[in-house]
Amino acid sequence: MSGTEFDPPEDDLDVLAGEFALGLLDADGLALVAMLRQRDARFDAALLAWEARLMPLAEGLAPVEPSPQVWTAIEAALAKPQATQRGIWESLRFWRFVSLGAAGIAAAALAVVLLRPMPPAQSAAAVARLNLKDGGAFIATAQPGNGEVVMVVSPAGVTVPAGKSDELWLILPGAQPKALGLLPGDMPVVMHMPASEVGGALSGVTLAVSTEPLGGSPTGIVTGPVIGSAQFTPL
Amino acid sequence: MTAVQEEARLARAELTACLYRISLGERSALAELYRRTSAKLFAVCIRILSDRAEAEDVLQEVYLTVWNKAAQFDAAREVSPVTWLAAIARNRALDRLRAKGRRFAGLDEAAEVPDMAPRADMALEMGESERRLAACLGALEARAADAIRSAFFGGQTYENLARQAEMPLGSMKSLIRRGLIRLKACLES
Repeated sequence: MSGTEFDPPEDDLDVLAGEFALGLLDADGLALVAMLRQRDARFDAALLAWEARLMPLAEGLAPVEPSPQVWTAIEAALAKPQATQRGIWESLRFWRFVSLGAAGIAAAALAVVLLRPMPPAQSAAAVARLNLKDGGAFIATAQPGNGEVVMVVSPAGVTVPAGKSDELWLILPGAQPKALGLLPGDMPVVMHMPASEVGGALSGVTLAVSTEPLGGSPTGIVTGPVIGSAQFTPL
Repeated sequence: MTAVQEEARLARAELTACLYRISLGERSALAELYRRTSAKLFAVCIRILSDRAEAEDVLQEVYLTVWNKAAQFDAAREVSPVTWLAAIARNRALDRLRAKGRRFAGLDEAAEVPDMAPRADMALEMGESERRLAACLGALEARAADAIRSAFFGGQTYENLARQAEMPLGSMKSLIRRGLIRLKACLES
C-alpha cells in the first residue's frame, strides 16, 4: 500500500465503498454507487470488507442493559400475527416476512391466509417442526431435486431416554408409517429419499417420532409411543 | 490458541447456530440470541440515538429484523455474527435518526457525549478486532479518526462534518479518504 498523500487509482473503488459504509456520501455519490453496484461486483465485496473493518467500533462499546419491556414487546410482536391487519409496525410487509421466516408455526400460517397477495414461493423446500412432549423439538427441512428429497433433521433441546432410540416415520395421507431412521438427540442427520417415496408435493406429508427400543423398531412398524408429529409446510 | 481466542471462537459458533435455528423459526433461539447480544446492540442504538426510549424502540425492531432475516446470515462469508448483528443495529438506528430529521440536533447532543475513543480500562474487555481497530484509528491523524468515528455513529455526510469542524468541504474529503486508505493498510498489515 502507498503511504503518500495521494489516493492511488486502484484504491478509488475501495475508498468509495468505505465512504458509503460510513454514510458520508451525498445524493451524487449515492447515485454513483448505485451505478457501480450494477456494473462491478467488486464494489459489494469492498463494501462488506469495510463493514467488517469498521463494525468493531460498535462492538467495542461498553454494554448497556435495555429494560425488560423490550423483550416483552418482541415476544408480543411474534405471538400475535392474527392481530396485524392494520397499524402494527410495518404491518403488511413485516408479517409477510414473518410468515416466510416462521414457516411451521401454525400462527404464522394464519397470517399467510390474511395477507394476500403472497410473494411467489422461492422453492419447493419445506419445513416441519416436531414439538416433542417433553419440550424439545426436531426440525426437519426437506429440499426436493434431481429425483430425490434431501432432508436434514436437527434436534433442539432433545433428550433421548437411556436405553431407547427416537425413530422417525414418514406418513403419507392414508398410508402406514414408513420408518426413515433413528434420530440422535445431539446432532443433525441428513437423509436422502427417492422422490417417489414422498409422493407428490411435500405439503401434506407428515413426519412423526416415536420412542422405540434401542436400535429402532424391531418390526418395521411403530411400537413405542409417538412423542411428536408435524406436517411439512412450504419454506 | 489462547483461552480467550478459544472462547471467542466458541461464542461465534454458538451465535451462528443460534441464527440458523432462528432461520428455522425457533423462538427460543431468538430468546437466547437476545440474552447474549442485546446489551451490546443496545449500546450501539443508544450511542447513535442519544435517547434511551427511542433506542429501545429501535432495539425491538432490530431483533424483529433478525427474526425475519436470519436466513440471510451467511457464515461462509467470513463475517462474524456479532458484526452482522451490529451492522443491523447501526443501520436501523441511523435510519431512525434520519427519519427524525435529527442530524443536526444529533450533532449538538453528540458533542456533549464524552469522546468515544475507548478508555484504557475498557481495553481489557475488548476483543482482538476491536483492539486492532482502536490501535489503527489511534495511528491516524486525530482529526481524521474523529471524523471517521462521528460519521460511523452519527450518519454525518461530508458536508455536515466539514461544517462541524469548520473546514472546507474538499479538505474534509481528502482528510477522510486518506484516513480510510491508511486505516485499511494498517488493518491489513
